Amino acid sequence: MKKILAPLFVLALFLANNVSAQKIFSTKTGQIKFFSSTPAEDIEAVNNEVDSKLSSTGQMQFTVLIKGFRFPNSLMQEHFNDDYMESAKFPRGDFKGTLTGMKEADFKKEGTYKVTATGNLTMRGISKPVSVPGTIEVKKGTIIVKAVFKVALKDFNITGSEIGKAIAKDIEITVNCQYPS
Amino acid sequence: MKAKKIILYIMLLSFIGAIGAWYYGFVYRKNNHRDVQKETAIQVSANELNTAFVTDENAANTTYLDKAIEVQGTVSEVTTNQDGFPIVSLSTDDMFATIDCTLKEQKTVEVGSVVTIKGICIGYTSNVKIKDAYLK
Repeated sequence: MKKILAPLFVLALFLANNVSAQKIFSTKTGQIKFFSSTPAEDIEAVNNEVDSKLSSTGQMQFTVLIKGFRFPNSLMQEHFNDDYMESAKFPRGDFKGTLTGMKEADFKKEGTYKVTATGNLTMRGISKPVSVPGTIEVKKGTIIVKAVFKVALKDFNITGSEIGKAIAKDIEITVNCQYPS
Repeated sequence: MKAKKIILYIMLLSFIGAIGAWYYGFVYRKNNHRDVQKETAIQVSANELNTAFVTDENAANTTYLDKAIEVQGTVSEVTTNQDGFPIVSLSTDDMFATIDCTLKEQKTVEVGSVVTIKGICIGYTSNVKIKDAYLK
């Protein structure tokens, strides 16, 4: 009996250890900005209420409420919600994916790591695979995820007469999320 | 002479009208962000609001999304967002769900106090979120 139990005990210890090694970092106050630049005008909006979870095994998830984007220009905010994003019908956007370029142990070592997040970006009910380069900074007490990438509006069936004129065809998205560790 | 005067008046009036329309269209509407403090709000408790979104998110979105609402509840946590503004979380009967309200003003809020917060509901992730909020 002891012979069977001993390896089982070792296995259980190993599993317990493994489970506790994976750490999940989360924030409710991540920041996502978007920026559209054309010769006609620059448009910028900020969302400070991004939900995000990141695990030390490299899974990541972002959820953003479209109504949470703030524009300096309230008329633009209205058009953004009503005409382009249809946020009453599609109140959320999200990204779910995995991270490469960083080992689990790196989350315990201070430094800045170049990473790539690959996964699905969903907006207006449409999911598209994306691969986004970014950095993860491990600092004392904080993990900071940063990324800048472009999204083509036509990939998400976002149409409108101003696209290509006052609104750029590709929108620049800036992610800056800080997770307490 | 009289006809000339009338024409002059009409020209003047239409000129003022045009300026007014331009101002409304291009200046006022651009800069006049909605002021939630002036709006009539839907009154709801933190728990009712959470239950509404958990039970039927689509129905709750129809009722609350983008509307001015006044939520009553007990403060469970106060954090700060990356822009330095306070986020007041109100507890609900579900221990994992809170109503998260991003304040538009710098204000100290005590954990455990019962408050009424007025703001705009922006929807539900795993918590209901309120933006541009003020303490009543």
